[in-house]
Amino acid sequence: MKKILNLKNVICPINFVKAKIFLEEIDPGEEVEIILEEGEPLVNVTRSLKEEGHKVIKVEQFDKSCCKVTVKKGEEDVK
Amino acid sequence: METNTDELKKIGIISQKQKSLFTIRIKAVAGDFTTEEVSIIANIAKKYGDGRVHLTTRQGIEIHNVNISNIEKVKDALSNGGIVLGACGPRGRGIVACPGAATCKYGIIETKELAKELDNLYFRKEAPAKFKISVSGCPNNCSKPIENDVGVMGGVLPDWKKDICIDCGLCIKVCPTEAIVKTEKGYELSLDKCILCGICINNCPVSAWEEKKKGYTLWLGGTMGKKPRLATKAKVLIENKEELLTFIKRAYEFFKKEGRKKERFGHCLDRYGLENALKEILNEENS
Repeated sequence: MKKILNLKNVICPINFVKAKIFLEEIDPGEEVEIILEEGEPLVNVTRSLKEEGHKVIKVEQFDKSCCKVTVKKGEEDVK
Repeated sequence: METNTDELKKIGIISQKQKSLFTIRIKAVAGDFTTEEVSIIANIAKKYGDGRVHLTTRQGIEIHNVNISNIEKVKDALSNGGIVLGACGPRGRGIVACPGAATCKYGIIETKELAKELDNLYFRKEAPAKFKISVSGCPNNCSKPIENDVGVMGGVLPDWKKDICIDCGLCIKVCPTEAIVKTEKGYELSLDKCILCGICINNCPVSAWEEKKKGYTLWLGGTMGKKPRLATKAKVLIENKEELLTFIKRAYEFFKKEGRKKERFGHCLDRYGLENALKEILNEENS
C-alpha cells in the first residue's frame, strides 16, 4: 500500500510545499500517491516535482475534480 | 515655445482638463528603466510635478500636473538625462512586452530585443489611429498581445516520442485545450486545438514531448477601448524574425492605405473583409 497525500482543495503554492515535505519523509525510489485538483494545481505541482527531480509514474482520475498522481521520489535532492 | 497641442501630443505632452497643466508621458520599451532613469524621472516629478509618478498600462511612466510654464524645463531635464518622451495620438505607441525567455520559465521567445527592434520601426510612426504593438513570450498572454493592434506571441509545437513515453497520462490532463488524446496509435496531438503553449513539454516526466518547431504567432487587429475586438490569429510558428517583421510591415502598410481616420486596425480589417485583408497582408508574393 502506497502512502497517500490528499491535496484536494489545497491551493498553490501550499500544495507543492506540502508535497515537498511529504516526499522528504520517504526513501528515494519509493512511490507515493498524491491527490491533486485538476487545472492549475495539477499543472504547477507536477512541473515543480519534475524540477525537484521526482518522477510522475501514473495519472488517474480520482474524483470529479481531482487526479491521483503516482510519484516516484528522486534518487538525489536536486537543488 | 510650441503651443499647438497636437504637436505636443505627438511627443507625449498631453493637455490636462486643467488649462495650464500638462501630463508628460515618458517612452518605455518593454517596461524597462534603469535605476538611474527612474531616479532622474522621480527628481523631475518632485521638482515640476506633484511629487508623484504615474505608471501607465503600456508599462510607461507619466509625470502629471506639470505647469505649462515648466514644460520646456522638463523636456530639457529629461533629454539631458537621456530620457525620451512618449507618444500619443494616431501613431505607433510604446512597445509593450513581458520579460520573455530571458527570465521567465514559461518564455518561449526572447521579447525584449524584439521590442527594441519594433520600437525602432514603429514608435511615433504616423497611422490612421493609435497603433499598439505588444510582445509576449508564450501563450500565457501576460502582456496582452491579443488586445493590441499587432501582437507577437511565442509558441512551440510539441512532438511525441513513442519510445520514450511511459504512458503516465499526465500530458492529457495538463493540456489546457484538451489537444492530446490517447488512441491505439499512442498519444496524438490535435493541431486545431493546440495553442502551442508547451505545457506538455515542460511537464512530461520523461521528456517524451519534445519541441518540434518554435516560432512567433502573429495576432492582428486587437483593441480594447470603446469597441473591443480581440486580435485575429493571422499566422502561427513563424520561425524567422525577418519574416515576422515583413508581415508586421505589410500589416502597417495595409492600415496606412485602407484605414480611416481614428479607425482602429481591427475594425479596418473587419470593414475591408477579414479574409481578403489577411490574404493581402500574409501573401508572400505581394511584397
